[in-house]
Amino acid sequence: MPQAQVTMEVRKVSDNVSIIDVKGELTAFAEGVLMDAYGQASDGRVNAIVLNFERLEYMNSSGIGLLVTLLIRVNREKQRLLTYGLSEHYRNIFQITRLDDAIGIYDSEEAAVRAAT
Amino acid sequence: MTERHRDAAHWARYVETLKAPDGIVNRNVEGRRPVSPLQGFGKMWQKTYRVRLEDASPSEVVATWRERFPEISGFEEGFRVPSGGLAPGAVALLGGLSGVMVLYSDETSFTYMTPEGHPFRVGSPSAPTATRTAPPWPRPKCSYAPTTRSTSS
Repeated sequence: MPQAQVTMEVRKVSDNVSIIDVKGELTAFAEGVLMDAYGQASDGRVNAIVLNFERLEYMNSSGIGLLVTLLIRVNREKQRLLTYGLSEHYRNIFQITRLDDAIGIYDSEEAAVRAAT
Repeated sequence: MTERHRDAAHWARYVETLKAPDGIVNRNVEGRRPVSPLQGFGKMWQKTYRVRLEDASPSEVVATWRERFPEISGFEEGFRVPSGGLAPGAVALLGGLSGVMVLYSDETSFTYMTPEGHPFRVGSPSAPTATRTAPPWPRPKCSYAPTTRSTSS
């Protein structure tokens, strides 16, 4: 069975904001890893989740589907989902899929965290 | 293309609105904006069906599915494949009703995106608003395990 080629580390940068550092490939096989990371990131009073895509190597349409699932969970918890570190290519993908309407895209961690707080 | 963006050729390009293929007039497609998965209404259902196939590779399965999609999906001749095939960015028509844009397509998967007003955005159980075949195998033995879950309300 293929394994997820991705790791995710969670950093809590304030009481209200957690960052998930994504490293590797976001495909269907990343579902467990992503949802586990969200579970850790969402602990406590967190009302904003920031995805760091600086080390994202690859994402296919299943990866986009995972982000949709995550976004639905985040919305259900009355949280916000933001990102930074997307390459121009993946920014375009967010635009094509219209995910940029629902997920805030920022140039840097500082900008994303500022927007989240 | 760099290794980092090895998926680039599999994605459709951004379009503001859809254009019906091959000069066909279809008011439910022409000029309609593709919409995000979050812009529908009602519950969004994710359905996963698993079937074990012994004598076909993932790419063979998906190639067959892509080639015979009108028949396999049940739309038959109502699903009109554009002359260039189901390539990324292509728009296929569902009779006079609506259409779908091929959002993503590679050897082992393909995904559609629906335009605003698409009737299947309400979640009809037989409607492939986003059809994806992402086979997680090495060659499996025979089993069949459909699962359905609601991801939105």
